[in-house]
Amino acid sequence: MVLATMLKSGVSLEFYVILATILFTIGVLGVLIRKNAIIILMCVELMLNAVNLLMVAFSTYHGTGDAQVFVFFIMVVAAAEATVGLSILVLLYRNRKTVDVGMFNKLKG
Amino acid sequence: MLALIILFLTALVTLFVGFAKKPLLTLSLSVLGLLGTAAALICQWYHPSDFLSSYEGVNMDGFAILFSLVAIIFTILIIFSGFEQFKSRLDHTADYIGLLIFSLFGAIVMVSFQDMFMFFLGLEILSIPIYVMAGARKDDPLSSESSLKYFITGAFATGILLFGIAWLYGATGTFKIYEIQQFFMEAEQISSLAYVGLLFILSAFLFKIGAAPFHFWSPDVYDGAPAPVTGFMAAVVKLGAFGAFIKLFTIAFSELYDFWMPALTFLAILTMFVGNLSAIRQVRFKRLLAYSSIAHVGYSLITMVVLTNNSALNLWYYLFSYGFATIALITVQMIVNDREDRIEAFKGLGRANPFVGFVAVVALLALAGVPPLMGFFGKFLIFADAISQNPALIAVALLNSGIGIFYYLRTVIVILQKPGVDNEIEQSEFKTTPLQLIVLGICVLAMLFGGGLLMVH
Amino acid sequence: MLRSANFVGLLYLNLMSDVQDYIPIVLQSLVVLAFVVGTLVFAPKLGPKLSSAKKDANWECGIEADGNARFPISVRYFVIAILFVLFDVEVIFFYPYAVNFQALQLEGLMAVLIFVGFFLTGFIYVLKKGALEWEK
Repeated sequence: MVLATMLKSGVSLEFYVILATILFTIGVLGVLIRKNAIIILMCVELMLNAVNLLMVAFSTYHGTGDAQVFVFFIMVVAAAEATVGLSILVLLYRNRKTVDVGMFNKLKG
Repeated sequence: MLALIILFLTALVTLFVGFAKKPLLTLSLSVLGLLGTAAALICQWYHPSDFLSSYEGVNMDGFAILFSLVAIIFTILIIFSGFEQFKSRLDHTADYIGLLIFSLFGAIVMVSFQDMFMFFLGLEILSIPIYVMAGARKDDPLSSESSLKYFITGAFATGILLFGIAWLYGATGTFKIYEIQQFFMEAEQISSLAYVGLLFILSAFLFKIGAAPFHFWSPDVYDGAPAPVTGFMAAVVKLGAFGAFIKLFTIAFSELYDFWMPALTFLAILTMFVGNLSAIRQVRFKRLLAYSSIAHVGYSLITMVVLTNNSALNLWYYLFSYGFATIALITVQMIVNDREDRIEAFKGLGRANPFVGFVAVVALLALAGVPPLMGFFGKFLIFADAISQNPALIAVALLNSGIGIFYYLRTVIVILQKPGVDNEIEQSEFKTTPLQLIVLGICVLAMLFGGGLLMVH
Repeated sequence: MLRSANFVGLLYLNLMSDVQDYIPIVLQSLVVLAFVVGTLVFAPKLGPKLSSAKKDANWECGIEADGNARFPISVRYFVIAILFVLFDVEVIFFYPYAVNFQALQLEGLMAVLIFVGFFLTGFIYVLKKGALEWEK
């Protein structure tokens, strides 16, 4: 059914929105469920990429270019964030010899 | 805009001056730059049409200038009070100060933005240096752990915020906040996309300001981070986030007030209770401050629930008073310098060092909202503004203030007690530096006489 | 800051396309899938099965395998990798500039020069901080 619609009208906005939402949800679930800090970092990147996809799709839908520039900024900021995140992970690994977030429970109360 | 340029160059110069390994030179140059920024902002206040004053994305209006000036004052105080700690690692002194200034830059962008580009960039410039700074004590596992926790929650919140912005853009087709407002005013039927976007943006903000139920990271992060960074997070980051929050919601989402007001009412109540009730059973000082800050976020949210013409100014004044008290307490915490950061370690502070003890007591009472301190006027303004519209909410807030007084007074009593006789708790030496004394002096003067600002206001 | 509207004028993507445009992709996917699955399924069946201790051992450039593959790498590699990620992604801003090079004229050139200036400042900072010194 879905495939038939798709074949008739080309790829319309809804499909991009649905795909982006699914990707975003996978990212959110990954951040919440996974224990390995590096995988959490990757899931955050997945969330940001879902946003990028959504931005580009909406940008085309509205016929303005703003959102595509926004995507550039998101990409650059994501890279900066990943850099900082990885450095923090290295630092933590040196101190604790693990990247399992379940182990980072010294701060409590 | 000129102020932002000066600030940015200050941060760069600070970083490069650091190679000379002369902490005092770094300190004086950076503070000079911050004062220059403040001067530029004040000039802008009197000559708003300055050719460098605005460009598309950033507009230094009165609101932005007031918030920025306070953020600059707080940053200077924190750099002063933390200087002793920064100086202990000579090759990183300038980095610490430079990162704090970059973060301040983000805070100023966040209160002066005109479109989502600048808002998002401001948020990131505010957050990323603080992720790094939270882990500044490199050999301390607690500090790195705090850094990672802050990073993960922060990055997660950023993702959620961006998703919200994308939906909002889908609904309105623009990123400029005044155009979004215009769109909502003229739209006959508001698309449900906009509501989805609004909810995501709201959740991200709650993450950033540390409101319940998204507060869980803040006690851990406050606890593990180095003390000056904790102070910075409580004072400046909160100021920037709240400034952006009220700006975005009163301009872009003003037409959707009926939609987000009930949610925010509920969250304000929840946040106050969570903060105050959890604060009661804390034994570590920075954790106490964290929960107290959550409670204060609850009070601050009241200004947004009852939107009046004074809301922004009330919020500004409240955060102003809260910041002074927190910075004073953080400075006292650095002076006490207990390794495990127990509240018990404050025992005997009042006798060993009367001035520091006095400031600590004043700051705690100011947080509790005891007249005639500045904290009282802050609470008074908010409650007086809201009481006619939402008396039930104010009743809850007053009840919470009561709970708050309990644990603040308990800490005051610890400070005034005689030094402990048991050998289990080693006595701290309460060493102070001149810079810390200056900070304490400024804070105590502000807290005692800050009520006078109301005359101008 | 450059004005965003003309900035991406040429980057405009056309999302609406015809079904025919996708047929080559579908065909290629099918061929790829068939090849991979085919080799995986048929290769073991067609060939003779011989096994000996020497044949089953890991082969590493003809040299005897030594130690674990997951040994600690110097953290210097890591610093450089991180810096690479950071500086590499910033190049993204040159792309729209390159596309609209003529339209943006002098204003655009100034903006890009300022951008590159800050970029270089960052690089000089990294150099002076000693992050790229291999021997220390």
